[in-house]
Amino acid sequence: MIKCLTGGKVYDPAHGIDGQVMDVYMEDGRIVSAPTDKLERETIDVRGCILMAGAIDIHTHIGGGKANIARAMMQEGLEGELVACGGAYASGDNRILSTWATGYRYAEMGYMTCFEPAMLPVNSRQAHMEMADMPILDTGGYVMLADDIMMGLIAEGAEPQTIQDYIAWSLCAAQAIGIKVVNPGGIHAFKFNQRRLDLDETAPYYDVTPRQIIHAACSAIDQLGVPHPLHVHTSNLGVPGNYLSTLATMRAAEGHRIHLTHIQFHSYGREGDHNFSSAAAEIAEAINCMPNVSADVGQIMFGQTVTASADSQSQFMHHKAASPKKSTIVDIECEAGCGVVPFKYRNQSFVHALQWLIGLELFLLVDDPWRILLTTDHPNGAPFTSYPHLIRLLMDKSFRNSQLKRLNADAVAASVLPSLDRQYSLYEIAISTRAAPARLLGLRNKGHLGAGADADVVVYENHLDAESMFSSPRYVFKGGELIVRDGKVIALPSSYTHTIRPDYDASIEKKLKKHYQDYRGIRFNSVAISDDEMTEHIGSEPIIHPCQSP
Amino acid sequence: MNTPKLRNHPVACPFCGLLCNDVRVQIKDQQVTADAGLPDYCRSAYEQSSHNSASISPRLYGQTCTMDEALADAGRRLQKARRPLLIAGSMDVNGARSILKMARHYKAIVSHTAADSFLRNLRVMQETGWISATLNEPVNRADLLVVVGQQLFSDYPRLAERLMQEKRLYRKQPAEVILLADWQQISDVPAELQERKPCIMTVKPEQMLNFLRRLALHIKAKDNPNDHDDAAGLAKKLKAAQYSAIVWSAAELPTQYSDLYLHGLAHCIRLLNEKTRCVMVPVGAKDTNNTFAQVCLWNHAYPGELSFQRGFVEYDPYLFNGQRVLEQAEADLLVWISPLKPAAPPKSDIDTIALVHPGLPADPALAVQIPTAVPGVDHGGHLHRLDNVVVLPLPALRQSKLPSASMLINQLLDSSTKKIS
Repeated sequence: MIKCLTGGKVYDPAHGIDGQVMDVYMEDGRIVSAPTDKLERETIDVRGCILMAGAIDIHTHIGGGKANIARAMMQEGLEGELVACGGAYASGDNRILSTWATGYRYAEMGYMTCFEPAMLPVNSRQAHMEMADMPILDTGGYVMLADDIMMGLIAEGAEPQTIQDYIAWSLCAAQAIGIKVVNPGGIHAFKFNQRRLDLDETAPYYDVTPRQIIHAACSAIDQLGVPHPLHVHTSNLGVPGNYLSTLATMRAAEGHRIHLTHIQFHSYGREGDHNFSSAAAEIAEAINCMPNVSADVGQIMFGQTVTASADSQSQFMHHKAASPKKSTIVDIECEAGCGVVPFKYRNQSFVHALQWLIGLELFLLVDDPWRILLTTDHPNGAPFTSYPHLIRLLMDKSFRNSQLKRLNADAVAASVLPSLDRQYSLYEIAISTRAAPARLLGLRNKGHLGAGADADVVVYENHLDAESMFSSPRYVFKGGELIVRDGKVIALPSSYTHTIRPDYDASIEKKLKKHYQDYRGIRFNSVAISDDEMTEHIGSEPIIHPCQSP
Repeated sequence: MNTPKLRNHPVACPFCGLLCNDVRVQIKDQQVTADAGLPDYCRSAYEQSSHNSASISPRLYGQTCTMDEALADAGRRLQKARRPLLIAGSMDVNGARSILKMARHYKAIVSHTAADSFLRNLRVMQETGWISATLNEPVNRADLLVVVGQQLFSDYPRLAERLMQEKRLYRKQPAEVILLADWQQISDVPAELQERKPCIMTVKPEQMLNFLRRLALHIKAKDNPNDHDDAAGLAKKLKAAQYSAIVWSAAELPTQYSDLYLHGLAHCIRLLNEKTRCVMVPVGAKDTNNTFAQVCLWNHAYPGELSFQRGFVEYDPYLFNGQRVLEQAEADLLVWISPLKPAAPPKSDIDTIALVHPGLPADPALAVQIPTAVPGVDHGGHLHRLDNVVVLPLPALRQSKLPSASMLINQLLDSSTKKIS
C-alpha cells in the first residue's frame, strides 16, 4: 500500500525544494510520484514537521581492525551506557560503539547510510563483517591503496592504464565504493624510520613522492569514471603549518576531482605565541576557488575520545599527547599501518580550543555547502553522536557565540569565528548531510526525495533548538518501513553494501598474483571478496552502482 | 570410480592460527588428504575431519537419535536452564556470531576455553598499548629477528618456515636471528632457523623478567664495550638494527607474571622506537580465541567473558571465566561449541550439550552430543590469522550432510522463538 506523509515541510536540495509544504509518497521501498488514482493509501499526518531524505555519513570509522583495537583499549567507562538494542542489549559509550549500538544510534538520528573510510585491503573482510553486523545501516567502504603495490607501480614507471587497472581491481577485490590514500607514502616511510614526509619529498626505497601518488590516483579515478573522487587524508596530520601541504595537495590533483577528508586537522598555521594558528581562511579560499575540490570537516568536540587512523606515522608522532597515556601502533603487511591513540580535547587548552574554532570556521567560510560535508571523523574529532550539537552550532549564531565563553580566551581571540554571522539553513544542512554526500558517492537513489529514490525519509519535529530536533526524529523510514518512532528503534530492516565495479584489464592480476605469492604469504585466489562470500558468509549483499562520474 | 581429485587451487588450512593458504589437498570418497610435505599436525587434522558424515549420528547420553530428537532435547534443556553457560572452543567467525546470538537469546554467560592467553595481551594493550606488526611486515624488511620462547614453533608448525621466507621485498640479505629461550642444543631448533645460524641466548622462563629489565636499562644506556652481559649484547644489536622484530606468544608465558613480561617487552620496544624501528609480533590464536575475541569486540565492545544474565551485556574476565563458573557450580547447563576441533568439553557435574566436531568419540556423559560440519572442510567461513589483522576465507572442500554450528544454533533459536510465540 502507498504510504503518504502529508503536510510536512520538505527540504530536498537535489530538486531545489526548500521548505515547501508537500506530500511525500512511498511504495515498495521507493519514493513515488503523487498517485493520480484514488487507491487505498496509508496517510501519516506530519503537519508542522520537517522532512528530509535519510542522512548519509561520508566518513566514519565504524569498522575494521583499528575500531576493534580502539574498543579493546578503551574499556574504561564502558559501563557508563547500556544501549537498548531490540530486546537484547549492547554496550558502548560514546567513543567506539559496538556494531549494534552504532546501528541503533545512527538510525535514531535519521542516518541510514554510512561509509567506513579506511578499509585496508588485507582487513576489508573484517570491515565488511563489522558493518554487516550493524543493524539497519547500509554501508560501504573506501579501500586504501596498498603502499607496496601502488608505489611499486609508480616507481617502475607503469603506464596510466596499468594504474587504472590496479585501482579498478582494488575496488572490485575489496567490494569498495571508493579509493583512499592516507598520508601517501608516509606510512611506508615510517617503516624506514622516517618520521615526516612532505608532499615533494621522496619516500625511501621507491623514490616516489606523495605528489606523484596523489596525481596518479586522482587521474586514474577520473579516467575510470569512479563517482567518488580520490579520498585523501593528506600529509602532516595535526602538524602546525600543515595548511601549506594541504594547499599543495589540492594543486597536485591538477584539476582532477579530489576529496580532502577531516580537513580541520590539516588547516593549521604556525603563527602566534603558540606557533599554532588557524589557516581556515586560506584553506576555505582555495576550496572556494577550486571546483574540483570537496572536503569534509572532521569537527572536534570537547571531551574524551579515541583517535584511530591508518596513519601510523602521524599517530606515532602524536602518541605522547595521548590521554590516557597509552597507544597502539601497528605496521601492516607492507601495505598500510594503524595507530590508535586515546585523546581528550579540553576547552581550556589553546590548541584544542583553536581546533574547535578552525572546524567551525571552515564550515562557515566555504561558500558552497555541496563541497563541505558535515563529519567529526568519528571517533577522531568526536563521536558521531555529537552531530545534532554540531548542527546547532552551525545553525544558531547566538548559541555558537555563547559557547565561546567556555573556551580558552587566547584561542577565541586568535579566531575569526566570533565575527562570522553566517548561520546554516535547514536547506544547507540537508545538502551537507544528504544531497552532497549522495552526489559525491554516486548514490543516485539516496540523499533525495524524488520519484525513484529509496524511501529513506526522516521526519523531524520543528524545534527552535536544532540539537533537540536532529537528536530525536519523530519518524524514520528506511525503504518505506517505519524503523524509528519518537527516537526509538522499532524495526530492523535488511541492509546492504554499496559498491562499484569499474572494468579493468585482467592481465593486472598476473602481476599482482606474483607479488602476493612472493611477498605477502597469501595466495592470490584468497584476496578478492566474491559476491557470494559477501552475501553468504560476511552477511551483507552488495549493491553495485554504475561507474560514471558526475 | 571416484578418483582422487586434486583441487585446482591451494586452500587455507584452518587448523592453526597461521592459516597457511598454500595447502594442497586431495579428496576421494569424502576423504580429505593434505599434501605429504605438510606438518603432521595439519595432515592429521584433515584426516580427523574426514569423517563419513552419513554415518555419524547425534546422541543423547551416548545413545544414537535423530537430529530432530537431539535438537528438541537441547531446546528443552536450554529453555529450562536458569543459568546457562556457553563455552566456545575452536570455531569460525560465523560460529562466534551464532554463539553470541544464542547467549543473547538465552541470557547466558559466554566464555572462550582459551580466553586467558588473549586477555594477557589485552591487559597490556589496555594499560600502555604497544608497537607491533603483522606477520609479513618483518618477514619482508627486518634485519634482526628475535624469537622469544619455544612452544610457539609447536603450536604453529610452519611458523619458522613463514618467518624465514626466501623472497623479501625490501631486503636481499636475510635477517639475523636471535633465539631468546631455553634451547638446550641447536638441533632442537626448527630446521629453517638452524639454516640461518641463529644466535641462541639461553634465558630460562624464570629469568626472563630480570633479563627484560636489564635489556631496558641497556637500551637506555650508552653502549659499553666492556659489558658482556647477554642483555647488553642484545640491546646493542637492537639499537643498531634498522627494523627489528620480536616474536613471542602470550600462550607460553608463565601465567602468574605474564603482564609484567609483556609490559617489559612493550617498554623495550617503545624505547627503541625513539630512535630506530622495532616491533613486536605477538602470535596468538589458541583454539581460535583471537577470532572469538574479535567478533565479541565488534558486537559488544568487549573481548568475550560476558554475561547476558541481567538482560544486558556485562564483562568480567574473572567472574565470567567459564572454568571458574563451572568450578563454583554457578551454572546449571553447559553448552560446548567446538566445530573445528574434536575437543571434549570441560569436565563438569552439570548437564552438557556439545555441538562439536564429529571426530569427538561418542561420550555417554554428554546429555546431548550433536556432530557439526567442520569449517574449512565441510563449509566455507572465515578466520583471523594469528596477528588479528589478516582475515582469510575458508573453503568448503566437500559436501557434508552435517549442519554447521551456526545452522544448528539458528535452528535451536527458531524453534525456541516459535514456542514462545
